[in-house]
Amino acid sequence: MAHVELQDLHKSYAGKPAVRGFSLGIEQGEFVSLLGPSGCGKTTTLRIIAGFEVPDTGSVRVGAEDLLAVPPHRRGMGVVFQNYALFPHLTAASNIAFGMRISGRSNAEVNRRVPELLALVGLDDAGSKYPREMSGGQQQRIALARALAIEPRMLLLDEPLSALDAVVRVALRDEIRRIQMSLGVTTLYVTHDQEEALAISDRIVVMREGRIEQVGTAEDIYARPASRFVAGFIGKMNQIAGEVADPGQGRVRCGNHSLLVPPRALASFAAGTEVTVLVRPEAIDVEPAEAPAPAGVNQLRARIDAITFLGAIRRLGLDAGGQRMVADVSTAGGSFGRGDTVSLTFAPDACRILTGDGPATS
Amino acid sequence: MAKTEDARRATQRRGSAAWFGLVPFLLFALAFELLPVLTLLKSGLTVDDRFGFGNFGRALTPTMLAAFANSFQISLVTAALGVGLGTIVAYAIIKTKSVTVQHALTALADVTASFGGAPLAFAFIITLGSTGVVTLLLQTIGIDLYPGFRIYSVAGLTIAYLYFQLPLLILLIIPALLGLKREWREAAMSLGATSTQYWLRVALPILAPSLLGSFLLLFANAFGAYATAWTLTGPDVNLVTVQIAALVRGEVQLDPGLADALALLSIVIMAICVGGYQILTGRVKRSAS
Repeated sequence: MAHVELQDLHKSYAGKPAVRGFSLGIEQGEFVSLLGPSGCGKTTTLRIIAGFEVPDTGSVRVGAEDLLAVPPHRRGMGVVFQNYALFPHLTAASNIAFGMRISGRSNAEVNRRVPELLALVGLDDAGSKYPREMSGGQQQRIALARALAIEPRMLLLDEPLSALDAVVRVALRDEIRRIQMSLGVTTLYVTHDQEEALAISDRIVVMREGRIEQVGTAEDIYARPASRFVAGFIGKMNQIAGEVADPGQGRVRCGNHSLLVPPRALASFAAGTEVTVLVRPEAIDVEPAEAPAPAGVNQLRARIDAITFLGAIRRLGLDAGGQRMVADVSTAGGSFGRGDTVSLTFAPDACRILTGDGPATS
Repeated sequence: MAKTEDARRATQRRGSAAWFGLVPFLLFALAFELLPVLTLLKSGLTVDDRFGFGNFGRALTPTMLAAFANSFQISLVTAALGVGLGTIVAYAIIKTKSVTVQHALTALADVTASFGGAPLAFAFIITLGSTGVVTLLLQTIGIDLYPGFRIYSVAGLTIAYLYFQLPLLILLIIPALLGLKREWREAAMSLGATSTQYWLRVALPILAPSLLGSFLLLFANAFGAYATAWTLTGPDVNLVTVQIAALVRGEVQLDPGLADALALLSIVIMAICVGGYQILTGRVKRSAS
């Protein structure tokens, strides 16, 4: 049995469902992210665990304890909010000490722990500062230290980096993960930023309209999306509509193109079944138009109609005979210009198959 | 370059026009606030056409000191009750789920906060006077308010003052209450605080500058009230404002110099209250930023 067990949680607001049949087990010390677009129910789920919301049905257990009967102030959940929620009338040190003082810890312990926690979040000298005297990133570090000060049975972070600028976000993201791993605290992290979730999570729960769409490691979710929604939400994905031409040969007809996919991906489909072929932009090699295609790989001719510089890569917008596609090329590699005709090649193993909105196969 | 210069000049012209719009207000403030205060200052500090503090010396008679004591007492009590009760009512208003009810109650507070003076006094006389509607209704169920209670007394005046003090506090404190973030309560709860601990350790300390500032404004509001007190109690309750009016009208003695000295002392008290309010609201804004 997992350390934290969420069973069949349902929650509606004014008849509108926010969470629908959410079930998940989280192991001790695991870092799990709830990822999804706004309104998908991820924050509601976190708030149910924290005790700020009561589910219509379902259960929340930590160890052997059913938490639904426990008021929020006795749950021992460390919560970090998007807007920091530091108490403005208290210094950073007093904010961190708040929970310890509420629980009646001795002055000696508080005086020992507060500097330790300030050091843990890299703000040794900020103890006497008020929240208004600190930057957003510093405030969020103090909020993290405050949540950790009570030695929580679980750490709940609700979009903690959303209000920060990009550079601070990346630095603090890595720091949260470092601290979480060093303390081994079980963590639930809510975010709508897929890059953030992919970077720091042991497992990711992709949510959509109150339901779990897919649960898996970052690699699982990225390389093997279980649905069209996950494929579109996590990273960039080419989605090429077609129909199964020859299941045995792993051949799919997409307009004027005939694509090779792993035959096992078509094993359960009859010829003529409408499917979608999924290919990641980085799985596509872009070559000059006259380059010969190696045997056994897919080759499409396309015209470049957009180029976006993204630092280490350039993202090419392509028109492959009416099929919109994108492909990533290294900035250090060959240079292509808008209007160039190029050859796109990708291996059959880079393709996954979706039918309708059902699970993907590969 | 020329376009930039033109834009700069246009901005300057707009700034000048904005200042021009302030002229009516400045003239009003000069005519009805600054000049009267300067006149008061001059006459209050003039004895027999010479500069002196004699008028202030005469303000230290037992009658005048009693007037200050009564004014302080009524102002303190109504400000304290106004803050205590008004905060609870204001919190109930902002927690009301119906926005329509919220708006209606806020509008009612707006109207009643401005309802003072003689009309308010008459309203209380016909409701809680010796033959008032409420007094007579209570008599029918065996409760005799009189003679234990009199609306024409300090206690009665306190109730009448609360009629405008409470709604004024509600209007002043609602923005501060709305400024309490839900996440502060939730953060406190997640850190182990009960609702009482949240209010004592988080909400009230955050609200303290606003509450204290509002208290000072209510104190000043009550201290400067005249028409309600005079209409309701006449000379029965000895207040600073009643004394000033009596000295100017010459009811017992005509002594405008002493009236001016009392008015100047009242202005000092008002200035301290308003200054304190400004300092405290400034602190609230800084801590919120």
